[in-house]
Amino acid sequence: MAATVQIVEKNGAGGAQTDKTSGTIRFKNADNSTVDTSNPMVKPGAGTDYSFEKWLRMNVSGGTYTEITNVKAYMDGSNGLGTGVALYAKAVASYTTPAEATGTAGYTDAFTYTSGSPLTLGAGPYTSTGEKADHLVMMLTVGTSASGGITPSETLTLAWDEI
Amino acid sequence: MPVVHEITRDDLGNQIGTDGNITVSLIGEGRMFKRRAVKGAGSENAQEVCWLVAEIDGVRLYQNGNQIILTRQDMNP
Repeated sequence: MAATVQIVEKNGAGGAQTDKTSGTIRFKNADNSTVDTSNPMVKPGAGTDYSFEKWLRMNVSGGTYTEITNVKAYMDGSNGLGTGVALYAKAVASYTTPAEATGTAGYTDAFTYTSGSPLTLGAGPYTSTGEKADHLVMMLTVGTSASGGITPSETLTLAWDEI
Repeated sequence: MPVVHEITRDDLGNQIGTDGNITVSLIGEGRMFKRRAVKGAGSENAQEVCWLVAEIDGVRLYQNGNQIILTRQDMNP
């Protein structure tokens, strides 16, 4: 048997979960998990438009396993979001209500985290069900050189060791 | 459903891992684990991947389907 693992997005003061394992994560100017065109990112006349933070976390919803270790996240190493659009990431242990980012301090360009150099979310070992490891906090920026429209999708990988 | 390896021990304590098609046996000291991943998480193209990893003295064997890699590198799906 194996653990049944989800990637959940957490929103609101209580951190309500939405399973996003195979559902689109839409960066926007609001704290919700809805995939719509409300509260869109806006191409600024000057400066940068920052999205609200996306708080993502591994959630073991069931299955049978002994322990999970070495939880990490990474991208494909190439920003395919388009000119003027950037994606940032960091690991955070404790949840706080997602807020609109105001800068990139504390974050790292998400595309520098690759399969050869991933972002560590937790060594573990983790057992039983529920949320495990640190949160993966991501936010997106739009600069003045961006084009309009919905950006192409990008590839986020969450990986872990399991026995 | 993706194939997730099963890891068991035989009567001699050796670690046996299989995806139902290929079986990897780790005889004696060492460790065996599954390296799992969700690739494309947060998109409709999400795909689960499972590698079987057997390690002895820092040398790792990664098995995924018909592909086997023997290396000292820490590799991820």
